[in-house]
Amino acid sequence: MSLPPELQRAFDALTSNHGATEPALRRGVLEFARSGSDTLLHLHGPELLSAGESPDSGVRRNNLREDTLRKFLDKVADRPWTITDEDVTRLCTQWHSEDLIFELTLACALGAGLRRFDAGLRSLEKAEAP
Amino acid sequence: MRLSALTQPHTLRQRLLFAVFRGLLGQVPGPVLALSYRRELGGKHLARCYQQALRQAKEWSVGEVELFAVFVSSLNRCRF
Repeated sequence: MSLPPELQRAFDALTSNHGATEPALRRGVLEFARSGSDTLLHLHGPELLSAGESPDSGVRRNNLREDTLRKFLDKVADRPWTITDEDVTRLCTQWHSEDLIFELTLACALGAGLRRFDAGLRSLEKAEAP
Repeated sequence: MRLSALTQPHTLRQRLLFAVFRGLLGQVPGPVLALSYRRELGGKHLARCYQQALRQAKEWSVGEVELFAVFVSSLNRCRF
């Protein structure tokens, strides 16, 4: 579904401009929140796991970090009012990058907003259909 | 809790803006912090979206749009 020009520009900027995280990762998180698909998240898993992490870290620690981030992004997308200071503190402790946390939160929130926007447009189309 | 990555101004313009808000309100409002972060990444474009949606809607008055925003925010259990 095409987006209004201003919204399309915001989408393009967030998924392609320079930031603390890879644009492809932001796009993956945005699409995850917009469509519920985590294909792109899996595709960019290695980048996700290596961001802000020292090379000698163990797999278990990476899995724990990814799990924490995944649960946080689920909350951002579906029930942001349940996010607590403890969630953010845990993320900061595990990821050591506030920039990464904010940029992925922003991407996830925009994706979740677009999911609602898409649903609204579909409802309008149905209502206007003969 | 606020991320320090957001509360630290990066440009002279932000420094001045944050100082004004801190002088008037005691703190910088959350939306201003979020939209000030790396403006080319999101804030600059999202601010235009908000401006267009909340202030330039043709079908509804500003008051009606604000009411919609309050309703949607309340569904998200978020203060508007």
